[in-house]
Amino acid sequence: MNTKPDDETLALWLDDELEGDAFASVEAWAAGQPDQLEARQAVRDWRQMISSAVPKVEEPPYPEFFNSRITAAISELEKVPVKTVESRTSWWRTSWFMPAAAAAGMTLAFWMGTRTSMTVAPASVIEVSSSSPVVYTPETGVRADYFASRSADATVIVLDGVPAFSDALEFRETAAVPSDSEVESTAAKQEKPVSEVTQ
Amino acid sequence: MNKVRPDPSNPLTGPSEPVESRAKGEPDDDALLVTRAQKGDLRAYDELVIRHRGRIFAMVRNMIHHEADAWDLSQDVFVKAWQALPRFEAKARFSTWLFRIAHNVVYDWTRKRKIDSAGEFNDEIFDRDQIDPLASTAPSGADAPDLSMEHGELRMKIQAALFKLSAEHRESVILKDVQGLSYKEIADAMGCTIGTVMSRLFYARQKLQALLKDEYETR
Repeated sequence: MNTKPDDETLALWLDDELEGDAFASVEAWAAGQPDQLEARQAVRDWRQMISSAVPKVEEPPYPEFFNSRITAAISELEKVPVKTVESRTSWWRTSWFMPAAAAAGMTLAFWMGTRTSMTVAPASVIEVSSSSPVVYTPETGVRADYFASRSADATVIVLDGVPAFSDALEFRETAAVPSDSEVESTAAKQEKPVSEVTQ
Repeated sequence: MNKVRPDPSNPLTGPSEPVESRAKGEPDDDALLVTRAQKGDLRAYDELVIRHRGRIFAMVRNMIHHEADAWDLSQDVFVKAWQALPRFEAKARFSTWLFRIAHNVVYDWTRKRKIDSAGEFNDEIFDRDQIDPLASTAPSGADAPDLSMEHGELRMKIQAALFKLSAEHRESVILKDVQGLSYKEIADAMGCTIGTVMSRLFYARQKLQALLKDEYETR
């Protein structure tokens, strides 16, 4: 063939990617094209220069550690069940049970909260409650949704309907679990009037 | 005595080697390991990682010019490859498929970096000349002792010039002139047509040759 090849074929020939008949035919054409032969040599020289200076293979630092991290990441992936929530073998893992149980738990906690706030707790009760978790319950009209993900190892409670906090609001009386020292000092203060009564 | 270290990933290919000589009947040594790995054999996959980590790390490092990040990203490539392995159909070489994943990982990372830095991302911050050589996080440019100083200097110049190219142009040069992939393989890895690869490579080489004019003309 002595006709000029199309641009794509020529580019492949310049980069030594042609083979077989296609290569032979372009080679025959290029025999009479010194500028093309020169261009191909320039591409070869260029590749030679780049490949001699920039390594094609470069072992990562700490190669064993590199591999062990990959293995660990894969093992971690394999451990996590793909669809824990959708498992049908355990009825208590069904999509409705967890939120319902959460809602029931929160209602119970709310009821207990209203009961305890009505009575004055003696000093001994305060000491016991210092190690108990503080339970917050939503107001009326607030919808609570509970999401638990085993794969993410996380639990999220979403409260819908809580009014936005004002920027000016300052939490000066934030509820917190008192430390042991605080409980002791509080108990001491509360015991004092009792001793005064007995005197 | 200097020993020539064999390329563990593919001893038959090379950037300066004419493609036609390696395209004929190249045994795909990876096939057996890939099949075993697809059945969940982690040991076989570990062997594949050993074979290919050098090329993937070199490619990623040349793309982002940061050793520590390249180390992490290269691991991501292999973890993602493991996840996608059941879908690998061996239509392409395993190494080409890995380059495709590496391409996606690098571009995702670059995109995220651009977002995190709120548009302040600038490729030129990776210019070696602007990095304190004593900085603990400086990309190591140390060459193997048996490499000549001339090559070391040339490599730094080429890498500095590469970072003046766009990511697409840089990647086309790295995959073609450093990794020795064919146009078809580069198109597969970059997710574009062969014509686009040819165009990118043409302009990338032109710009690089202009940037490396002194080096290029003295050879």
